[in-house]
Amino acid sequence: MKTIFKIVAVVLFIGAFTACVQDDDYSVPAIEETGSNIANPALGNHSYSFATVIAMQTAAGSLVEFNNQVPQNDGKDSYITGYVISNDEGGNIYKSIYIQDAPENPTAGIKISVDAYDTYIKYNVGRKVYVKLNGLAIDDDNGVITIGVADGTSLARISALDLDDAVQRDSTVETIVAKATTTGAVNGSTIPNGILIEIPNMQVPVGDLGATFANIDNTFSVNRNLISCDDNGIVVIRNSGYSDFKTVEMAGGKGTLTAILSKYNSNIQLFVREPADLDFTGPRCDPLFSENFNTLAAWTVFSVTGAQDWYASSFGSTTFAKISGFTTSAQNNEDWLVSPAIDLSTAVAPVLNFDNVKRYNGPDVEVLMSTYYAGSGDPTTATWTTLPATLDTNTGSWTFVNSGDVDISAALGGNVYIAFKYTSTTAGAATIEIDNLIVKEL
Amino acid sequence: MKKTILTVLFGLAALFTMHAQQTIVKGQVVDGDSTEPLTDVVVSIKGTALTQTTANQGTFEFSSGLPLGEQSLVVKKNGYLPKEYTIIITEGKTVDISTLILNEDIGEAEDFSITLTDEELDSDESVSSNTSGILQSSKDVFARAAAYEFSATYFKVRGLDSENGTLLLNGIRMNKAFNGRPQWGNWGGINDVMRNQDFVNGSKANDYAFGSVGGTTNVNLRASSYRKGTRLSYASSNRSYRNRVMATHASGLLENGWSYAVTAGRRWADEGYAEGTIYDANSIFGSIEKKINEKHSLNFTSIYTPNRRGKAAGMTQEVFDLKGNKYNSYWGYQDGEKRNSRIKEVEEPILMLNHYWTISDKTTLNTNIGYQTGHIGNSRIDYRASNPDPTYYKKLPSYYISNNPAFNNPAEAYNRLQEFLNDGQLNWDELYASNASANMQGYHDVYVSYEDRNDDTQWSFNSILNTEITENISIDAAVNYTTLKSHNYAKVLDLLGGTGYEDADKFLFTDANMLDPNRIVQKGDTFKYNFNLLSTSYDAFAQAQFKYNKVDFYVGGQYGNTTFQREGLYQNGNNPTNSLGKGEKLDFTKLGAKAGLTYKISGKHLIDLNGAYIQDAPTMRNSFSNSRESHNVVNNLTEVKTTAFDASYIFRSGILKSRLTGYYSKIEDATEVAFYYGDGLTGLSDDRAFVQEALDGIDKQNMGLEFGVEAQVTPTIKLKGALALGESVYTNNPNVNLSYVNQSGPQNFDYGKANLKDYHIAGGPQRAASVGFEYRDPKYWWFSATANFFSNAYVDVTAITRTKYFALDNNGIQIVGYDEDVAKELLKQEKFDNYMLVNLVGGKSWKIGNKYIGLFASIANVLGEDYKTGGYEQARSANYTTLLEDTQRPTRNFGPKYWFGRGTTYFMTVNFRF
Repeated sequence: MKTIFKIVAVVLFIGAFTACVQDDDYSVPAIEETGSNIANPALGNHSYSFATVIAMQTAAGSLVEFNNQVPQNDGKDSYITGYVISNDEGGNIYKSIYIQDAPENPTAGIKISVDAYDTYIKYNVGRKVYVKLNGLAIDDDNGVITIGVADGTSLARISALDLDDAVQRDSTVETIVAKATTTGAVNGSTIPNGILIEIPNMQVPVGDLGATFANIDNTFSVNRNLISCDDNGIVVIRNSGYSDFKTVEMAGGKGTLTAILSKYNSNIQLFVREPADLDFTGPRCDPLFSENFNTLAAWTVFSVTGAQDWYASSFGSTTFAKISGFTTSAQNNEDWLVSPAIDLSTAVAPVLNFDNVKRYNGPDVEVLMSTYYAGSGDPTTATWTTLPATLDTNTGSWTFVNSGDVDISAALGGNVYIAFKYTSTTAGAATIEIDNLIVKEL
Repeated sequence: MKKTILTVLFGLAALFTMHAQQTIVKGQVVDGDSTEPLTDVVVSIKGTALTQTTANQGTFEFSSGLPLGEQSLVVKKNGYLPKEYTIIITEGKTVDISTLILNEDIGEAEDFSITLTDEELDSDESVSSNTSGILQSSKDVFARAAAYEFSATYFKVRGLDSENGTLLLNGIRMNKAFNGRPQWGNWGGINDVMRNQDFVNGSKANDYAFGSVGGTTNVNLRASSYRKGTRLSYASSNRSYRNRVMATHASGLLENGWSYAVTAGRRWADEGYAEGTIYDANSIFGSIEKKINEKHSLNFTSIYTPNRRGKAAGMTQEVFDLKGNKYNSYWGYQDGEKRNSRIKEVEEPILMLNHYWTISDKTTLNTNIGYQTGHIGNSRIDYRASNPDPTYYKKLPSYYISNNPAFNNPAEAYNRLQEFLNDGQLNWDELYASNASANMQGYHDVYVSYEDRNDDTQWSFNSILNTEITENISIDAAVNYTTLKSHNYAKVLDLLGGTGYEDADKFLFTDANMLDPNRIVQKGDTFKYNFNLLSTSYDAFAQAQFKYNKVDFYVGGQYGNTTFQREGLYQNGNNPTNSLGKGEKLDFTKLGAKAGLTYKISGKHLIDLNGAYIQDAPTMRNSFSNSRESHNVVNNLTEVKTTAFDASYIFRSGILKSRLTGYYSKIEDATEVAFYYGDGLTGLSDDRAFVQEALDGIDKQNMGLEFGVEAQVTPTIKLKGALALGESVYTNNPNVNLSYVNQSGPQNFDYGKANLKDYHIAGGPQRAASVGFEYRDPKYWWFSATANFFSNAYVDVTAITRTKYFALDNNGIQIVGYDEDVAKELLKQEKFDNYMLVNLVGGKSWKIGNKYIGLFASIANVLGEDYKTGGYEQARSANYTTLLEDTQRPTRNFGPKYWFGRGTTYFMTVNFRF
């Protein structure tokens, strides 16, 4: 009995002291998704356009502190409104947030320099943001208009502690429509720098197939060329050796390139955010055949008449095939320049394309094709079909004219030979130059 | 005064028993409160080999070999205050002391030290646990000073760790195979039933096991050994926990042969001494024994003390200077509560069945079966975005102050300083928000809370034989067999509001388990790594103890075998051919030999000599270079050899007790494994990587002096002092091997030798001194104050900066501008400042009828001194260039991380016994 009493006393004693220790049961905190209020018209803050702030920097030609430009004593903030287009999750974008002034058809882009990583978590692509200009500065950073903080006369990164206040998030996330453009517009800077662009029908050049975004065994940044199927134009994407995807092979098909248009001084560079920005899944547009004529070794040069022959020539860094029937005076010539066999057995809609120049008066060069040529020797024994290429008519200049895409699908199924037949007479001998010859899929 | 009366009384008693022809000394020992006879009381005659242990009736009788004249009868029992009686033995007469009274040692002081011992250092990269838990039951002057006064500084007795000590519960070894240490958390909060301890110092002979060189303690948990009664206690403190309740009831030996004891308790705190350190522990103990007959007794013991506590982080000098020693970077506010990201949870119940067979009055055989299961979990945050640690070097002001003007940013440094002072804690809300934001964009979680788990299941079987061959010679022998399966894995605890976490290497994107690629894990899932460590160990031990008048000696030996094997359950993406299934079976032979003698120059002067040689398996932690990801074993893994000697001079008089010991021990062929992120790693194919560093062939040495003295200058005042002068150093240059994984796969580098020779072993102070006094008032109150001085504590050095690669650049040529004198300065081992701690302790007890009330209070570090208990150099700056650059900064980015001792703390308990 006494024992039971003792045990009960013990248990009650423990019970009286049982205390809770807060541990373990944590519920997900409520995350309030209220955006910045800076743009509320009721507050009367000053909204600026990208153009205006960029002009502030251009006018000064050096670092501009916004506190010297925007109203200071009225208790209002000054800001610009932009949309995030960059994503640093993949590691190719470093300590930067790129914004443009509209989700579609932007007129300008600005880079914000921040001392923070993984900004993608809060500043995701499409997020509408307000950059509060008070306390910040703007400068031309090697050609890129950048907002940061002033550190003497140079631009420094915005501290991670100040980021929430300097770049305020709105609760809106818009869909960014990349600006469709061409390699020419990109390289020629005819579209605003700092915006998100897309170029269709791009691919990795044949020689770079299988290359990775950057180097596997070091952390250097690497420039990669991408070539357009439409106009053979080349753009450069620059990939960081610290990116997560540096060891990923660039996709080998043809497709749309999406990237941030940027530059380094006068060199245009594009930054992709992730491997999927190279949406290269379609069939490639590699030429079935190409020739830049730095030698004619692969071609057959056959002279029917006359001492002048086709030869490989160059001017500056351009190489081309050239012939002139004129020495001292015009001569009689018939000269054939015949390509090696071009395999069209798997082609679908092959076209021929080349650049040509005609200078001085004389007969036009003829562009011919044949499937019967033996491959070497006298071409005149084979049957040739004339091709309707666009030829240079301006005999007064050396400017190359493109032939346009010449349909050679009649030769489908086997090998085709392309020939340039030059004729000159004593009445006239033009100088003909042929360059950048390709046979490709339409 | 008391002594004189007793002397006279016994003298009279002797006269009245003059009839007997034989010379006899006999008597009975009873408990001062209950007047019940006391068993297991050791009665001996000083200066002779005569000693007996009382049995059921509490009686003893010496009938031969008795010296004549004035002798001292010493009466001792664990848990009771010892007594000495002067008796006069006359030839042919009987000395009969029919009621020898022993009073229970209310045990206040023992609460104090147990509180200290069940605190491990709360860090993953933990500095050693000391042996104080093993020492606390000793009555040796020096050992008591080490246990009570020195242990808060992580002082190591003779430079040895708790892995060099042996802890037994009811004869079963409790040191864990993983790191060789006892897991104090497995029996926390049941102090009342842990008082019955048998301790031997160093490698001395004990009756249960071969032991080791750092002392052996056996805790007796037999139900019948507990004093009948009930004890309730409440304690209040500001150390690891704030409150403790404990209730114990023991039945004592009942008439039907049964006895039982139960303890239940709870310790808790919303916050211990350091910020954010929650403490939540429950304890339950039950022991039940049936005395089958005079010869056989069967005991069943169960211990279950689950506990959870929040850990506190080590910090650099910069952080300490800004925030003080209560600062803890592991916690942050959530819902207004402090939530700690690193919680340690220990839940490992122990069950034991013990059989005691008194084969004859000279021989006993004790057979035990022990079973332990459960788990240990250590939680933390894993991240794929920015490091959430508020003390990450890029978040501290020091990062923004540089001698290089390009990197010097005082404005930002000021910003960061304010941020850190005003907040400086983990931002849980930010982790949840980041996960939500990432999920919204179609990414997986960037933060997750998970725990590293060790789920150990262990069976132990042993049998211990003790037999008295003759009066002077006894033999002890034992066989042990242990088998362990340790399941190690990571487990997702909390997705922090997210939808799923990628189970892949965050730098190399390889799968954690190629058998289940591209896996996204949810709460409760196992992930990251998953493997078993299987271990089997057996050994046999035998020793002989000889006790004569002038000399006692012993000799003992041990032989056995331990095997380890890793069994991978995941095929790790970084080590696809070397991680799945069973790895190499590692086999080690255990050997041990020891001997010692005690020479009694006289009753007052003793010389004690001991020597031991032990060859044992390395711990599992030091055997595998990266057990989470591969089967790889540390190079040159072999048995660790320990050799130890000690020689002591012991002086004991009526008022003075002292011991002076010189000791020496060396440990050879040890291995150590560490993990860190290195920067400036010359000689590898990457100059920055997360490496596993394995050292092999490490030789260490400890030697020094111990001195302890206690002088009972008046009946109430005792002066005490202790001094430890030790030196623990590395004695050779071990081999360094670095391994890591990069894009090309696993890499392995022989980094040559680390010039560690003559560097000091890290840890607590290697020199300590204590002076103090103790006052015991006859009115049952007592008070003690000590002043304690500590010096010669050293930081843990990194091995790679002491290799030849420190001076070389990536081409293997000496770094341009390398200055040998500067290098020597950079590589000097930091010695921590000396400090003094003052401790006060006191208590009072009241007796009301047959009930006791006791009150005990202690205040440690009264002066509130700041001191470092340990620290380690960060290996981040791995070569001359990066280290010089870091040290030249006004405040270092990668300075050593330290643990600081607590300021003034108290512990107060009130107990009630009836």
